Amino acid sequence: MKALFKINPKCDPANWDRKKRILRETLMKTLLYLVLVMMALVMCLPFYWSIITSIRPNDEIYRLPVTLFPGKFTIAHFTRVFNEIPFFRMLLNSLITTGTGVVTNLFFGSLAAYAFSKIRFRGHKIIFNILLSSMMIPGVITLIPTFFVLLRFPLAGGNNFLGQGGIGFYDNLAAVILPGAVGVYGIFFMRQFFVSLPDDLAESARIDGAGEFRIYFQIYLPLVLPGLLTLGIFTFQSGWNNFMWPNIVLQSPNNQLLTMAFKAFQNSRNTDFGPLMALSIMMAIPVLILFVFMQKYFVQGVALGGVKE
Amino acid sequence: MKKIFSGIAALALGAAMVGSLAGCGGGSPNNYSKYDKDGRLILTIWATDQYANSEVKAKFQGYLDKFNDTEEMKELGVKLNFLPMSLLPSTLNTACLTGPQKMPDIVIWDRFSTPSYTKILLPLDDLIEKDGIDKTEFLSEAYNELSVNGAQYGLPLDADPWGIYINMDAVNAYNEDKAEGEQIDVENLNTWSALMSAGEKLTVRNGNSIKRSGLNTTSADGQFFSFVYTGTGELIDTKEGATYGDTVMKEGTALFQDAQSLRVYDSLAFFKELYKKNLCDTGHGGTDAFGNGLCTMTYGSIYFPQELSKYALKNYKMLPYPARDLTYVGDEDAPGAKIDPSATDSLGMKNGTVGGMLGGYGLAIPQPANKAMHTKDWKMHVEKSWEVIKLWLMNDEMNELYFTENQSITCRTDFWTTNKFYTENTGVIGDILPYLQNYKMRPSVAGYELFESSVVRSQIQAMKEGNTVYKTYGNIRNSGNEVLRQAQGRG
Amino acid sequence: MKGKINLSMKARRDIVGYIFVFPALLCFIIFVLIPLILSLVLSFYKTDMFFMDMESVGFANFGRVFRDTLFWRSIGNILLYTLMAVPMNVILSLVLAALVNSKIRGSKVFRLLFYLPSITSTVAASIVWLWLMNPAYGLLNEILNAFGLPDATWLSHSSTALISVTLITVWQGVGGNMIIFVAALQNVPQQLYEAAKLDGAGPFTMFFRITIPMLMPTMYFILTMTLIGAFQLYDQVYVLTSGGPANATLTPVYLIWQNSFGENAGAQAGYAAAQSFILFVIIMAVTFVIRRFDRDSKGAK
Repeated sequence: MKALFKINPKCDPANWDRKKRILRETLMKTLLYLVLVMMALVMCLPFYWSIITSIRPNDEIYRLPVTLFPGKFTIAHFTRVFNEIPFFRMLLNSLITTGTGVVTNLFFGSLAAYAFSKIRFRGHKIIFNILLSSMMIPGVITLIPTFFVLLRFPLAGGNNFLGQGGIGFYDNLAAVILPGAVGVYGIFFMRQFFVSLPDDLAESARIDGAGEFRIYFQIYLPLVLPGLLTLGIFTFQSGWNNFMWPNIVLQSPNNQLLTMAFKAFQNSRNTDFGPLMALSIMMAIPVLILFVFMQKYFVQGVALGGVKE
Repeated sequence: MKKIFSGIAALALGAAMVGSLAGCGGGSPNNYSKYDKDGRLILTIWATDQYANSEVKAKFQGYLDKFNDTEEMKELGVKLNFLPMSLLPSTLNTACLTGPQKMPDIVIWDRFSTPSYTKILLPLDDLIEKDGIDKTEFLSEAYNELSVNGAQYGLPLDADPWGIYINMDAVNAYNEDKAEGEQIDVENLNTWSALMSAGEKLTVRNGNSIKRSGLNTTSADGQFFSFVYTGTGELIDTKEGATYGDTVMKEGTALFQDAQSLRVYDSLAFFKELYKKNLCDTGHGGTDAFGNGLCTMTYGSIYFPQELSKYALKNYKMLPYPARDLTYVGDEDAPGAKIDPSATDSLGMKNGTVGGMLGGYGLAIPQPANKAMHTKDWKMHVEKSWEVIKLWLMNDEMNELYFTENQSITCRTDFWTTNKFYTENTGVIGDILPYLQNYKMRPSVAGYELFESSVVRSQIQAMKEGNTVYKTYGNIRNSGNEVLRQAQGRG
Repeated sequence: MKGKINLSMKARRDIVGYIFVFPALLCFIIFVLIPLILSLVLSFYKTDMFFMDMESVGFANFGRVFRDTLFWRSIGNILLYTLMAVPMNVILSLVLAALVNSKIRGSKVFRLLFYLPSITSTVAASIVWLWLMNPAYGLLNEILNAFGLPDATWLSHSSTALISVTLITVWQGVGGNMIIFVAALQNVPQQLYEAAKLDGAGPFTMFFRITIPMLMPTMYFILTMTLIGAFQLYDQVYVLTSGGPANATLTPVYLIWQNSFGENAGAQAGYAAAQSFILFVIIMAVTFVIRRFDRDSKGAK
């Protein structure tokens, strides 16, 4: 946007106005940054605390008053985590349960959401409303019965056809995966995205003879990619940090998840802050990576959606 | 964009496969009994989250390795495999629902939760009688804590008395420049009034704020039971399963018709007095503060030194809770409610006695919730587990191995006077052992845990924040009895 | 167009629709509906979680809930908590979203930083907060003192414990909602802003006249979800306060958990089921009220 001809800037009254505007914009920008940095400091303070605790030696952690900056550096807490808990086994288990949950939630959730918003089969309104109102059910209601459903699951874990005789999915990673495999939240969340897309895309594809699954997968799914990725992050993160339910349904050392490792460093009598924080930081890293990676596509997907409009 | 999609699709397929694999991975029910390479039966032993702590776990595992290696265990043909559980009672509940194959064979059981879990613990009375176990060998309070409605659900493993920990560096520093009468005599810190005055003396203030607390009062609500006991009171009538009292409380008056209510009332009044002295704020209570010399007296169990090992403080002693020597009930709280300090109660004790509350673990054998699951194989495991428990606790050599390796107090009282570990102990165990016979277990009544955590402690907290003793006592009685009634299924 | 689709085609679409929702429905039936019915049955019995010695007691469990002062205390707590946490969460996450959505350098970094708290596990984050909120040597009081303010009691006094828990949960919860708001913000057509700019509208006018109205569906979604989540507060309370001090942070779900799996799981499973149904009804009532408000405000416009 270069000017086609030059005027003496000092004499141009329009330029004065521009200067004022630039000044105002810089001021606004500085203010904006100030607010952002302040907020970021508040939001990240606990995280900073975890990091310095995980790298400073015990005599600094347990000395009062605690100092804001670490004096000495140590990796002892990280080695303790690796030595004292089966970290990689737990990591693998956590990845399996959480990863499966993400994939099933995204796939089946968006499939159902698509059907509710674009196929409009008979009864879709009623079914959707039932699902929707079930979100108000506090999860704690179904705690004990869900355990029984898993325990008496037919043909699982040595059970017969009637669910008797074996242990069902007890002490099996499936007991963590299955109850959350297709969450209503995901369906509701994805439906919001599908609804905002026009119907005629599907109509014309149908006239061209495209199958419904192809329409869903090839036409609509790419358009809701930002939604899918956001839901993916949420599902991953909640599954990753889930710690009560696994303690109820899992017990063997081979089936432990990372969240179950906290007790090795924190219980009613003892808290080992160093390894505890080292563990929590290592647990945050996968989600962090996922977020950074996906943030790139948030924007891309949205831009794509914008073009189509 | 396409790449991501094929990627996601591949991931979905992979995950679905992993999922179905996990589904098939369930243990088959036929390999219940497992043997090691020498043909020894492997028995699983579970413990609470306190054993999940990596240091405690390592120590216990070290003991277990030695125990497993003894000739006696080899002769039994049994080997113990140890697993700490994060949420022991809950995980045990679900495991016992599932059946023998996912159950542990032995549990290291928090004794005071016995009344709530009698359905999943095997009564051992027949076995105890068959083998002629002499229950008088054990500290009776610890033994009885595993007994509910006449059935015995385990044998006590250790005695875990709670007491007052005192920073001796701080006491010595205080005494240094004081005249004889002004000094703090730790040997005679055995009455409520002595404790209160020592707390006052040791508190260092800076204007209104506290620089160093003399006595931790922030977590005192959890210690109330110890003070009730050392004031010779009892909070719960274990026969009735409710709080004591033919007491009728009317607005503005307290008609104390039984001694127990009055004593509990007096213990509350003592606490109120203690809170009024303002000896501590939240930052100066707790382990951090004690370990850093910011709090001179706090409360802890016999295992507290394990926690303290990370801190700079090394010179400390453990004292039993002191005894009541004065009456604290004031006129403004309850007109006419007075305890005669010179009166002797039905237990033959004058006022109070030093001592406190006893915690600790027992060894118990869980049973499947459903009687149909009491299989032959499981019964064989029970037999072996019982043999292990007997060996562990009743065999002198084995028991010594346990308590020396774990630095704990055995419940077999004979050892206290005969074994070098106890007679020559210079640590906190040596400090507290002479008073251990005075210690009391918590009342063995269903719902007691909830009563303690959500009624008594919260009411004391509310009293600390301003409620009167009178109101506190009334609330403890009313909501306490409601909670207990509900937990015991009495409507 | 639609008139041309014949009946058999419609039937085929119905079938395809059912196939598409089948996995979701199956999961719903097995892990929500069946357990819900079982739980409803359970609430009419006096039983523990082993379902042995089941004794039918009619509506006695529900009657007991109404007399249970501890339960109503927890309901009072959660209502107060919801009243504080939900508006705080929604407003703050909207403001953050608007801030990081402005086209400035480093907005991605800030987005990540604001999302960090949501990434951290609740257990670890809560332990750090316990530290920061320590009244004597915690960093928060030192900061207060630096501004000449007196110490706060934070989690250790019943008058400040619930608000402290609220601050922590909001801290941990705003990141997720911010992400949803950002996604929604990016779907607001830029032309609207450009047109408004030509009319001389300032950033605040644009925010209230364009952004907020365009975000209403998302707002409703977030409001409902945050509300439902707030009523089920459990994790933070479990780690931070165990319901104390003086029951000031006792929540219904914490109580119900204690009754069904926790420390006092005696003969309480039936009663816990009754408690959770009452909680369900309360959540439904509150959500219904919000919905009415939502409709009324739309009607008013």
